[in-house]
Amino acid sequence: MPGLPKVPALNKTKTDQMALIEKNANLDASIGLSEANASDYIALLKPRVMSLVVFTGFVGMMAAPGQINPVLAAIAILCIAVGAGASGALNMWYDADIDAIMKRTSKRPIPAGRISRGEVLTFGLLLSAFSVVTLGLFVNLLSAFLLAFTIFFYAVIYTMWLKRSTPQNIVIGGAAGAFPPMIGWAAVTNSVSMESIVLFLIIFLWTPPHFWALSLFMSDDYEKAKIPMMPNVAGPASTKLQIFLYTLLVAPVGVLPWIMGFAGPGYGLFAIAMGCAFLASAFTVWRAPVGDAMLKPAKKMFAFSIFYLFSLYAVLLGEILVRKAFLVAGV
Amino acid sequence: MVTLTDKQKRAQRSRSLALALALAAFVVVVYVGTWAKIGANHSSQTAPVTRPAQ
Repeated sequence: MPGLPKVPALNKTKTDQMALIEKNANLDASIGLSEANASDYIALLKPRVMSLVVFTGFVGMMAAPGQINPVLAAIAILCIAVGAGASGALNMWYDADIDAIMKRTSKRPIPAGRISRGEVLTFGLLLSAFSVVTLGLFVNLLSAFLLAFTIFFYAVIYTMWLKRSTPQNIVIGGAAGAFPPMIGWAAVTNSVSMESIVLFLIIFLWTPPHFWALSLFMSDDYEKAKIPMMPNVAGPASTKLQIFLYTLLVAPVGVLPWIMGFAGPGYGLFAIAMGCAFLASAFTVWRAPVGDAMLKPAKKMFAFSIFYLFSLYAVLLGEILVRKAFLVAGV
Repeated sequence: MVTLTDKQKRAQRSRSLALALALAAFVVVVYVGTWAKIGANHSSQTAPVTRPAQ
């Protein structure tokens, strides 16, 4: 009868039936019996990215005026960490095809065949929901909204839309990594203020030079995966210039916390020194001739950019902690 | 009947343990968080109100 799906014949021989059972058993083994262990699920959370997110979120929380119950503060940090991990898992779910092509990402759990895409999608969505709802219930709705928006921004706006369509992908997508200090600030104050926007801007403007330095020496990988990173689209010369221009922006913005008064002179002087060093590093990359000679300064700049952001936030945190300790001591 | 290999058994045990720990941690978070939230609300309601000097 046309239009109806074909039903398998019921009068199969015993050998056929055995073959069918064996085939289904093999199918079960390949689908259901995972060899993934807990560490594979932890890898889906991108722990290294998560650690920076947790750190900047914590600094945002400590820099905020006002007080928060320490238990609720710990829950807020946990939710930020889990939310960041969830967005990392969703990124790996969507990007599994290009992760398999790129050398840097080919050993991730999905391309390595240890976890299926469906499992990762479920894992990412569940963690997203748990982190946002928990933050909303225990801390406040604004910080929960910001966390939900961050996950959405990273998974949908950056991963699904921008990453494969424009060389400005990480310029706009960098916002996702810049939100955590703002979430930490909102967890304490239930507001978004200029100070938290400055903390956001430092990471937002730092992201392009950081990732473009990486893409200068990983451009072959990005080319293979057909990701339109700046060096592959505009060429290394233009990328190097843009790295320098963004560094010109981030260096003074890094000093703003001191100028605005929520960081002290110690931080201010440190931010000026680090900004100059970051600029010098970007200048070296810019002036290096296109080709193999630029790889070494690009690698150096990539490593320094991580140190720059981490140390800026660490000094800010140190200063805040010292100030709070003096306040408690009544000095 | 599907028989698990040793590697699959180890992986299953590792996943089960991690899931149990995650669930236990979530229970602790909800319990401790609820008490902290109640405490925070209570202290904000009972905080002394400062009146302007007359």
